[in-house]
Amino acid sequence: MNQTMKDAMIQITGNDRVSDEENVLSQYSGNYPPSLVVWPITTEEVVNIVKWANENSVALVPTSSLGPKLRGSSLPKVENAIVVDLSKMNQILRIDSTNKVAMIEPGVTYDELIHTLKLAGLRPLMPFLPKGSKSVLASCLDREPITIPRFHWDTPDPLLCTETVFGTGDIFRTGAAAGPGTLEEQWEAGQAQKNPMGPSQFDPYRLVQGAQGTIGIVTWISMKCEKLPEIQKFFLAQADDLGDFQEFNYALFRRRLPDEHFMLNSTALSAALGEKKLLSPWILILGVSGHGDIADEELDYRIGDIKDIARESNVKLEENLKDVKSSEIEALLNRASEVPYWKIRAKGECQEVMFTTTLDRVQEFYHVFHEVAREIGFPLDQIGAYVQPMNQGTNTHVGFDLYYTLGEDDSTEKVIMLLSRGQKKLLDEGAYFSRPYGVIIDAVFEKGSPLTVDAMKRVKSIFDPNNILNPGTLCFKEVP
Amino acid sequence: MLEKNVYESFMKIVGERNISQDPAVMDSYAFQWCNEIESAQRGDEPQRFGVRPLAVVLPASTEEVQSIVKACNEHKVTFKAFCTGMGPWAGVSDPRAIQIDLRRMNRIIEIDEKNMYAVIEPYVINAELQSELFPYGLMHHAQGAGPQTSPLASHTSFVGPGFTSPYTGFSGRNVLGVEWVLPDGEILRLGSFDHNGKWFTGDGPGISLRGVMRGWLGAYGGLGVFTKAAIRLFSWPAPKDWKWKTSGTIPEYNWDIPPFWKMFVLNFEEWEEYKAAMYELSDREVTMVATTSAPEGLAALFTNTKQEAIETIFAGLLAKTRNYIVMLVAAHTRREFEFRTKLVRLIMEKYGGNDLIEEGVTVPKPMHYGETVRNMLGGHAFRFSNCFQSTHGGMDTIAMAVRLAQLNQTVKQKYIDKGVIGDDRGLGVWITSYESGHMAHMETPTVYDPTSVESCLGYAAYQDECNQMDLDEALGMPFFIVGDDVHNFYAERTMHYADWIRKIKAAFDPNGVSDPSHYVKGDRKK
Repeated sequence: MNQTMKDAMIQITGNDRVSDEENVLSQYSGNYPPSLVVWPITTEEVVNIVKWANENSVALVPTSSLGPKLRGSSLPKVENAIVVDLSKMNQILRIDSTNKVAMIEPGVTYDELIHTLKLAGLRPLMPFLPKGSKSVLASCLDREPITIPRFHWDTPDPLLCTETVFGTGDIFRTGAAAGPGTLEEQWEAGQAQKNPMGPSQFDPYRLVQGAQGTIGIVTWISMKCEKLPEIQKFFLAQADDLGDFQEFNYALFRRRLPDEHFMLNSTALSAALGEKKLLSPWILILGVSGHGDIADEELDYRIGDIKDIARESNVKLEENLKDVKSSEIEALLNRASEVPYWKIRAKGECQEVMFTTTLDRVQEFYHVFHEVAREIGFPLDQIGAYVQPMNQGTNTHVGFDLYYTLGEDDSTEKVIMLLSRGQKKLLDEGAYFSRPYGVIIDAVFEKGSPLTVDAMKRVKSIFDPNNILNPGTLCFKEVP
Repeated sequence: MLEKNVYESFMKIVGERNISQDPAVMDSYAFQWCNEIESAQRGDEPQRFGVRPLAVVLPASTEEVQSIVKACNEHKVTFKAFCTGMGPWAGVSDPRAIQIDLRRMNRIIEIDEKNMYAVIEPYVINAELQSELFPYGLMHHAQGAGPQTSPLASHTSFVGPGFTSPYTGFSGRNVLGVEWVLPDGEILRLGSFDHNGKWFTGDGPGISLRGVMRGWLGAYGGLGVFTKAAIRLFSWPAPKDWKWKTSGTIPEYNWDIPPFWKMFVLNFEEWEEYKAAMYELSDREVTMVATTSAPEGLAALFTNTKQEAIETIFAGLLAKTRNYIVMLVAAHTRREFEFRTKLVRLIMEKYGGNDLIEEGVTVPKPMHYGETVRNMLGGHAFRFSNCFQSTHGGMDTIAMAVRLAQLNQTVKQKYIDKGVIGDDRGLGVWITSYESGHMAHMETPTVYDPTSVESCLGYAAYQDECNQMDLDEALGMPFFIVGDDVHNFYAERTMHYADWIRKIKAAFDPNGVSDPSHYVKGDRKK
């Protein structure tokens, strides 16, 4: 089978973009090593790969980012799979500064995009300090939270339109990109693939996003960008308890005054800065900006109103803390992490826990997780926490990072135990794992109604009827 | 008539007082705005009545809705949910169909003040929700159909622009958790509500089933019944101590304008200047409202009677209005207000515009500020002939909206010359931006005479020509491209999208009982 598979892939992509070498396969190894890695560079090649996989009942695992892979969602969970690595599709296809949008292929990384957008007076809406090899497209498809909640209108933002090869092998453009008209005709008519909804009476982009590669393989996306600010200022505040920020945060959500708006615990901020800092348990980070004409006056009014709210809610905003300057924070934003990835740099290894809740419950979940860590004996000062308001403050992403070193004080065993027991405890207490990865997945789908899983399987059977796309992922256990 | 045993099975669910098959009652459901246009587009004589349902049932709970839907599956009866109803899509299409009127499900279940969402039932109307939200300093995205209509219907099932869209977005993108009785009678709960009873997101775990729920247009009631929905809320830009106060009598009532509010009508000689200003005003987040229409539209917005509107048109609007943007700066603080008004004036000057309010060309009264945020202004357009409808509707960029407006003019003028639609010299459009200028849409409100066969046929032909133009010129998908025949016409040049929707319909409605007339049938049409 492997030789047949290899011959078929070579026929589609050519000899240079197929590999079954041991050292290559090992980089993509999940529960099982893949049988083959293939690097398509066109949508047509992707279509041919998907059609062949359907005809031959072979699993495909799409991936775009290079390692380190902390979540394992794009690694094979079944035997004899082909990894479809899209990282060589790395063109920035279009940038439209008037309409604040970029169209990109899967292999485009943040640093490349930031640089190119800057020349057009734009910046991407992006997560906090992503790894340097992270695919922007994959980040958008993963519903990775962005650091600016006031520009986060709906859960899928900044994802707009996509070109997707469904599991059936059909190419489909989602949103306004579907037509009428070719992309060129749409551009001629003034369109820019901005409306992500539809086409018509369904929203396929909401099905492809969050699917971890189980519904379709996405070959380009358009994404929301924002104008580069003329002027920016950053503010910090410290607290022992997130509750101390609560009134201030909720008032800010209503007003949409700052750009960047999130919280880190001292462990996470130290890890991001690359050195241990003396800080209070929680640090609030705000970025404020002014744009275009009278940018300075915009900055003044925004800062003025933010400071009034801070005074009313007893939050002390500072440009510099004793041990951290706001310029150091600014340097962490709007760029990718250096190598090694900051989460790895801290202790050599990292495992992630992430869920969605409302801001008023985050401190409670933090205590719950700490309690389990304490029982297990995992050091609390090795748990980083990132709290990112989303949907203009309606809900909040919470990320706990477990930094550890292989072979140090049973740390691997403790991490495995904490991932299992800690996440289960969070789930029981009402944390919503909207983007489930790893050991918690089955418990998440058992927690909801069986009808939800049934409905998702009905969807899966439409777009990937032979279960060739990333089998074993989410609630989709069926194999080709 | 429904068979006696079938009628009784529905009666057992809702009780004798909450079911009817009285012909007069059935007629009241069959009479819908724009039936005459849809029938004309099908090639029939324009009809103001659609298909009469065989019965109307009024459930009071999700469980009752579920039982009704299960009974429909058992007895092979088609159903269509009905909230506030406004258009042919609210009615049934199958001769063997019942209407599920949700008017008894009218509770605001929850207002989460901090996390800014409200959980509502189907028959909560915009006016009620707005009134309940003001004490919390909050507002919701109310669709342009008006204060008497259901926000749940708009958020779950229909296109959702509104006058405040630059600030509050689009209905379909403001949905959080949803409770949904599927066509087979199962109850699906989307997102966090399914896991922990909280409504703060409707997405996941993993894929978002919002993807099959509505799309851009909404499924128009073709895929089950939505019984509860959480929708996002937004800050009401007024000081904490401001109270909603009115006096006088409709239509000449007074309304206390919040202190940091100011309306502008920025007028630009050419579309190019208009376009540049619209982009910049939207991007800079200075306005709650950014709406464009014709001189006649402006007259309709800021007057209270037909006569007053006509007098205003001839008193100067025709001569002095070109391409304008009605803007409402609505700030929370003096500092915000001063910055925003200064920037508005700078942008106006930068692109050579003038303010028609400052020049006294149009004079919105305090009540018109209230009418704007109540989304009452769309209703003003009914004054001219008792009826209007919109063509086009494509949504993408401000540039596309402007191009649509430009290209539409000559097409519209052709039908004006025939005397079948109202004369606005082809300029009658409605443009709004969304989400700080990230999107925009253009539709062309057009008045016609619903009592005149010639006018109805003329309007229908105009709409068909607009649809064809949007296809040929790549100008997006119009609002009313729904139903199998129309989908077939469009999908051929739009990646055959309808084939996928048909598969969704077949997967979720195996017996085909959820009225498909403004959605799709489950089987692929040859």
